[in-house]
Amino acid sequence: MTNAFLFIGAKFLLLLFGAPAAYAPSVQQLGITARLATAYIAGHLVISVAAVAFSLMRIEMTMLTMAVPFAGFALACAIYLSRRRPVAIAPPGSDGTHAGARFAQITTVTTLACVFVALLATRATSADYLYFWGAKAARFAEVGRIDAALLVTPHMIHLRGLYPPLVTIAHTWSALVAGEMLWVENLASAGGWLVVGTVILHALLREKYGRATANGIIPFWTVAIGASLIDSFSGGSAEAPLVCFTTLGAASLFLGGGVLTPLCFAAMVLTKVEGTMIAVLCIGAAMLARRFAEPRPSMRQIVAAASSTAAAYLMWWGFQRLEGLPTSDPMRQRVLDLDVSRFPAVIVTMMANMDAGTLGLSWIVALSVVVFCVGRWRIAFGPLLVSLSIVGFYAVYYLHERRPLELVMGWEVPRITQPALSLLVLAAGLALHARPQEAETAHDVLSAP
Amino acid sequence: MPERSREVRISEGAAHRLWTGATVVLLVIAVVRFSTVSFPATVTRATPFDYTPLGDPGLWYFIEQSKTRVPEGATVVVITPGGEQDEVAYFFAVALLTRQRVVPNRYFGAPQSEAYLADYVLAYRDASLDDPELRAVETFAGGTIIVRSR
Repeated sequence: MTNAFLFIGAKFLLLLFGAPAAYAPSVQQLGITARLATAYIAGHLVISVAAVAFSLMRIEMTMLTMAVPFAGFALACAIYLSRRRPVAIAPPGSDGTHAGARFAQITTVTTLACVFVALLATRATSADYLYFWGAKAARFAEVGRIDAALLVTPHMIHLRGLYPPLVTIAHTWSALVAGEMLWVENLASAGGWLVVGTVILHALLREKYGRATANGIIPFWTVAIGASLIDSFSGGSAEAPLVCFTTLGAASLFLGGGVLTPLCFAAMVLTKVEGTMIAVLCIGAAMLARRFAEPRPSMRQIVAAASSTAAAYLMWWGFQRLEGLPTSDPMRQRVLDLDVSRFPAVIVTMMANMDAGTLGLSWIVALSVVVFCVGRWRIAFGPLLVSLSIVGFYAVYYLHERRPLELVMGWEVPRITQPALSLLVLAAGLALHARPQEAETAHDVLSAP
Repeated sequence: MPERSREVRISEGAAHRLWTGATVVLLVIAVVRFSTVSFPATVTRATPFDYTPLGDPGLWYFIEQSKTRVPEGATVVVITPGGEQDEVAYFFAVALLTRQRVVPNRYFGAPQSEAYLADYVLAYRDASLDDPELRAVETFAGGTIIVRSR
């Protein structure tokens, strides 16, 4: 019991490491829960960067070497930043009805409770968690660093030395604090990311479009993503944080979320290999959105997203090069070796595996709403374009596949399409609930860092 | 411009009702599929995948229980009946036996010779190796610890 307390407590300690982010002017306006959630994301980034640096310098990660300097530095930054008070501005738009707010609260809390129960009941555990995310964390915790020598051992290639460190390091940190890896309790971390996503997305939407809009979008988003995470067996793996970072990264980029943009883009890259691809798609879509969308993402936000993406990528790539880890997957390097004749089969197999825990309804409803609200496509432009681009990317990606499609896609598609589902739901929600004139005002107000 | 407003207004009510109704439907599906069935399992589970179809939780449990029974630094191989789960057993052992040196009996389909030199053999259920140097020392949690006498 004590170890479980320490293991979970270690996750909350990350709030301290990321505290400065909660005091950034653009985040201070989002409310206390969103500020805590932002600190949680920033805390994960801090330990990931620290783990890479410590591993290169051969410094062992312990409570002492990690917690004391980082917590101290973070607190000093937070105290300094807390003196910079943002101008208090009332959120735009209407507060909506009391019934609407109550419906949003009940639906969201019920969904989150269901997700935590399903995760802790071991109903949705990822094989990847057992095979490599958790396995690497347990092993790294033993030696107190990213054990590159282990990852290049011939009988350890299943540990995927190529994959970025954020999720593994988050698990490692908890195992370090608790003294052991708690495999079941750790599954709850996926639910934690859903909470983080829900809280910050609600705050962003509330600040940009008003409470009624946020209350309209969030319940559907939470249910759709919660059901998908459970159905795709994403417990303990990197899927939940990736969905959280991509959604918040895109939302803050297209709506103007200040410091959240660079935080989420860096986290995206350090979470999964495809996070880099999604980050690039988001930046490309943002450039187009400056011409076609409403509101237009600021150039400052786009530069912040691109810079943090490049910095995070270079950091992990540099570590891989210095430590002799693979920087590419030999099984996935046949860029132009496409079998175009398989395109219909790829599309059919992909659609057959987009159940998302709701018999495909979350996809169908979101798409239908986008079509219904065709007159408001400008407001949904960014998230919609990224969502469709992700699906399109995977459709092309699977043209490389030589193995039976159902075997491979049946396993991968339910998990890897979740960021696309999340952004499609966001696009549909914006098209249905948000009002362009409110967005324009809100965006101007919150584009500060 | 007036035409567009009219178009949006007509579809707006229907779309709002569709959205709210769909949220409720999705929630009901999620609750039925993932929560009601699994709630008792939050108490009864013993491994991280008791209720996920990822293989045999008994194998994980056996290896986990072996953690403190095999000396640190010893070379260990896990074998399963007919060798069918040897690869998965190796993956589990790498995750769980972090203080021992785990070697695979089979890796990506290929038999591994290193396994025949392991100090300890964790034999799940009735798995066995035909080797006169091996001696069973303890049976528990559905398997046996076998030590190599040199």
